[in-house]
Amino acid sequence: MNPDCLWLLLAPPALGFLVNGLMGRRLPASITAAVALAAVGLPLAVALGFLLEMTAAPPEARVVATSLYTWLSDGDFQVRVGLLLDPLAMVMSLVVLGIGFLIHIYSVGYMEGDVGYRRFFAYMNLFVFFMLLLVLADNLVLTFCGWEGVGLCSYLLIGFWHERKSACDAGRKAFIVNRVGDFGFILGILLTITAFQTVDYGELAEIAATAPGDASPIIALMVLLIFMGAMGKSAQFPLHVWLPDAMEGPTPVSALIHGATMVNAGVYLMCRLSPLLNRCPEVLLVIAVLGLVTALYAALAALGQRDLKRILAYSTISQIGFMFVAVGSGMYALGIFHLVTHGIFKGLLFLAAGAVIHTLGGEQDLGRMGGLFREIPAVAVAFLAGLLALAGVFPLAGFFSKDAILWGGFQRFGASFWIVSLSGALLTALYCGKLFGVFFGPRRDEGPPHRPGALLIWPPAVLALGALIAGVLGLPMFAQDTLLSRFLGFASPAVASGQGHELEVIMTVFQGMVIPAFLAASAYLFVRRRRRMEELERAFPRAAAFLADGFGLDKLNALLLATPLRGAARFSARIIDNRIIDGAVNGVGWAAMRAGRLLALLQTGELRHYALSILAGAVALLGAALYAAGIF
Amino acid sequence: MAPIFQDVNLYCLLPELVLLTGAVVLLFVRGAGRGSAALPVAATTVIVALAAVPLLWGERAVGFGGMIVKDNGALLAQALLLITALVSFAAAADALPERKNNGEYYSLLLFSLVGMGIMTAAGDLLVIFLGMEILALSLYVLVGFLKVVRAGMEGAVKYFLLGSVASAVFLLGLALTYGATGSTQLVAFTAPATMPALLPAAAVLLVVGLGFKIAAPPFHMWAPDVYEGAPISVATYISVAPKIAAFVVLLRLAGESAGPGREALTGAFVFMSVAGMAVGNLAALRQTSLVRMLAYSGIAQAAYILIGLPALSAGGAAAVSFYLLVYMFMNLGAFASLAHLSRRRTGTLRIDDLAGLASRAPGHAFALAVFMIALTGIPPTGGFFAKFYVFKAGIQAGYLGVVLVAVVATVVSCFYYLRVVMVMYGEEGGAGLRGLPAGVTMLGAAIGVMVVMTILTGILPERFLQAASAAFPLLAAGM
Repeated sequence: MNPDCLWLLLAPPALGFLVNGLMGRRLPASITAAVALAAVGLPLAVALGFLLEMTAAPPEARVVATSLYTWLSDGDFQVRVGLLLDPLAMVMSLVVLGIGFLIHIYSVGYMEGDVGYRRFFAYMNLFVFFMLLLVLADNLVLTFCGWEGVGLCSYLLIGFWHERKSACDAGRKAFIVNRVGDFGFILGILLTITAFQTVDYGELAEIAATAPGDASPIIALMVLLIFMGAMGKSAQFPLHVWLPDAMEGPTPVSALIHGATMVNAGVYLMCRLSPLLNRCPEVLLVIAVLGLVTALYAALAALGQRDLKRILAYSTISQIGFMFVAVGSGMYALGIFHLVTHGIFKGLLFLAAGAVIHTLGGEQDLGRMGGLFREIPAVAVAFLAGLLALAGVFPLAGFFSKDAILWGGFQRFGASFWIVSLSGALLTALYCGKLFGVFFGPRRDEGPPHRPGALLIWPPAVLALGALIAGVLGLPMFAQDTLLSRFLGFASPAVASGQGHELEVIMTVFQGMVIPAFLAASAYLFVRRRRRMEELERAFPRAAAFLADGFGLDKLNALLLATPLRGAARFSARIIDNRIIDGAVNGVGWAAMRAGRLLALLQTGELRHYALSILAGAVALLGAALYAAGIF
Repeated sequence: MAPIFQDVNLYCLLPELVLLTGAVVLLFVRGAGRGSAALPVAATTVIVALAAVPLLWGERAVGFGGMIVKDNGALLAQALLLITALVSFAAAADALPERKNNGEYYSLLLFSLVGMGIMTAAGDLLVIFLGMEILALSLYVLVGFLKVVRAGMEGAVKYFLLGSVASAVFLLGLALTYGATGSTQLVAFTAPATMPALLPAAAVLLVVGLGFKIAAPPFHMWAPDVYEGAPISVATYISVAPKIAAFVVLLRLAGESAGPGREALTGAFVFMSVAGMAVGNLAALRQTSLVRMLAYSGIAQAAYILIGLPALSAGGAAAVSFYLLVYMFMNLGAFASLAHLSRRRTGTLRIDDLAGLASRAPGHAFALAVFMIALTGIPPTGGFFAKFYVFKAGIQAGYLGVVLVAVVATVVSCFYYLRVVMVMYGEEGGAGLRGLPAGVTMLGAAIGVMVVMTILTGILPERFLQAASAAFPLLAAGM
């Protein structure tokens, strides 16, 4: 494995962005698409090459690292631009590039004829570049650069159709909510620098291993602050409010950025910092509990959505919550496993949803969808496969990862934790069942369907295949030592494993039966008894609206944050700002302007004044120098 | 004085000889009309001279009894000056009327390059003075090159008269140096003086002469009027080239000085720096004309660079040369953009005229925005690191107060730099600016290179810093 080739992963998307962004106006659409595809396809090939070599290498030699150059140095403290491809980064890069490549292919068909075709692909390539930078960075600062870069691309792509006000607002919301999280992230980085004089992941891991016991509180605070950034980017309660609105972006964007890759960056970052996390079990508990709360809450909210994409958005929030449960249980490999499977089936679901929306001419309201199986069977099969995987039905990918997460939570935090997470999983099955109504039962839309082209069908089909077989990574079952975790090779905090295998097998079989049962019941209700369910919904309008608004969290935010803030803002605007700050700032500004005017007065344009200035300056300097030298 | 003619070493003046030849040839080629050969000849000369720089690199060619020392510092400065000249050529191709004989213009510009080449490589104050006068005389004529422009003539006369005053002061300093040490060599500053009391006075007077060149207050008054009156291509050149040359001389002076002379120098640097930050930034706030704003901005930028001079031992030399490099890219870029935008206009370009530029010429608006952001000192541009290194050196050398003033001044400068960006992107319907040339022009390409370099110095700052500190190894080690 040649470390000098690592830049080959990063360069093509950057080039693709430059070519399409700068010269795209003169290129025909087909070239634009080809450039964008090549920009993701080439690094995918390189990454696969690295993967082959990496699997062949012994576990301790599975790290490729290169330091491109030093960006900043101050004494001992250095920030290098360095790339690190270890098994963790490898898995994440493959998710980004593999799913990203399929989504790029899909976009060629989906965005056809859009006036912003070139802009779209330029942004998408830029996103892939920053995402890879985030993943491959070998230190916190460089990761942060990628982190902000993907945030920027997310903002640009959510507001891609900027003539729609709702899209612009959603983009802004995403950006602002992420600022809250990133504030914590920056503080965390600064604390790391002041406490340990390094931001390099390798050196931090060493510090975590060797630092004395009294350093633990600092490490805990550091990790907590960085986790705040992860909560923003990965849409964890209560910083999740931006993600449902982010569905204003084009569907491929929802699939790539807000389903499969960027929103998982927080999970990735926490796994990156796993040596530090292992030192602070309290932080792990915080992560696990927050993840569980998010998983449960978002699953409930998903149940109440009427918009196809918003269901998927809440489902994403909920599933990422499960990933954080795994991370919080100290089972990082499991978190990554669920990240991979979720990336596959959620990407699939979004792409298939895009095809459904395309078929209905832009309709996203669930109430107007029904009986589409006969119209678009291929899409329907892919979508249903995605739903089964999401719900966690054997033998699809979601079954393996979710089952392992539930067991991991049980082992570490006990039975009550398990019961709550199981109810989260059952809720998942419920809202998955609700989506069956889209394809079965009577048709609900008018007009002829726009049948999607091949480009809209094949990428989800490939992903559906992936959803079928990705569970292999979690084999053998009932073991910590699965294929993926062996590849990743995380060190986990020691878990007191009192329970035997029998219990695990029993629980797996139980879950494996009860989840499909829930799914089937829910599907039956929402397909055969759909009218009845809708009447039920109408009978309790406030409850339905409560769920649909995500427990009114936006309103709660408005009440708890915006109203007091607005009040405070009004107070500060009227009193503090007008009277005090304005007085001071305007005073300073006025003084500056006044001084400027005085200086302008000096600038008379008269030659003798200028000459006088030179001579006066010379005499003054001379006098000062002679005085300082003690001449007089 | 040593018998210098026994030590004629033309090799150390290779770039200057190339430039001199080109300048003389230019006086005879046809410079007017369509078939003008002036620009190609001038550009070729500069490129050949530029090619001579790597030839001499690392050789430290010394000639004329130590009066000329072509060390790496001189060569780095020379490379920057030649690049500046090339960009100003690209601007001149647009700015100068075609029917005039432009051969003289390019010839004078090459003479000024010779002057600065001598100035930056001189090991003797008299030779520095010679170089300065060659430079100054060429520039006086260039400022008034378009005789029909009244402001240009006015600017030229002002520049000439004030420049003469500054030269006289510098000569006085030179005379005092000779009186104090019995020599006019730069190294004399370190030698034990026979009359030590004269040395601080001499040092201060020399700084006044050089302070005029870098437009440091209170010797800055000429700058806005001259920039505004001169052809825009000349303003582009004057805003960068003489400053680089003068700063290199200041670096040598500060590096060679010791004892009371050095204290006086430090005092003068601090004074000019603080005054420059105050005057440049405050006056720039109120400007409506873009070129005058940039003139004051240049005064402020020079003031930031001055912080590095008293802090030579704390990495100030590298910081100063890095700042000069970045300053060249961003300021040249800003002036070149201005030249590009104002080529078809008479009268000065007001900042308000830029309204809506972002939608009409997105590329140029972006370029100008990058330069403004760099001049403010915001990452990821080189402007941030230029300030960062200079401030760091200043703090390490114990000039915390000056750096605090500089930070406040930087905040103030946001107002006038970012206002340009705001007007371009936030407002609509600026007057004029129609008839911008379409397609790729020479000047457009030059601006593109400046944009790339401005950003690159922010992404790879350590590389450039190392190159810059390699140019002045003695200064970094000494003091």
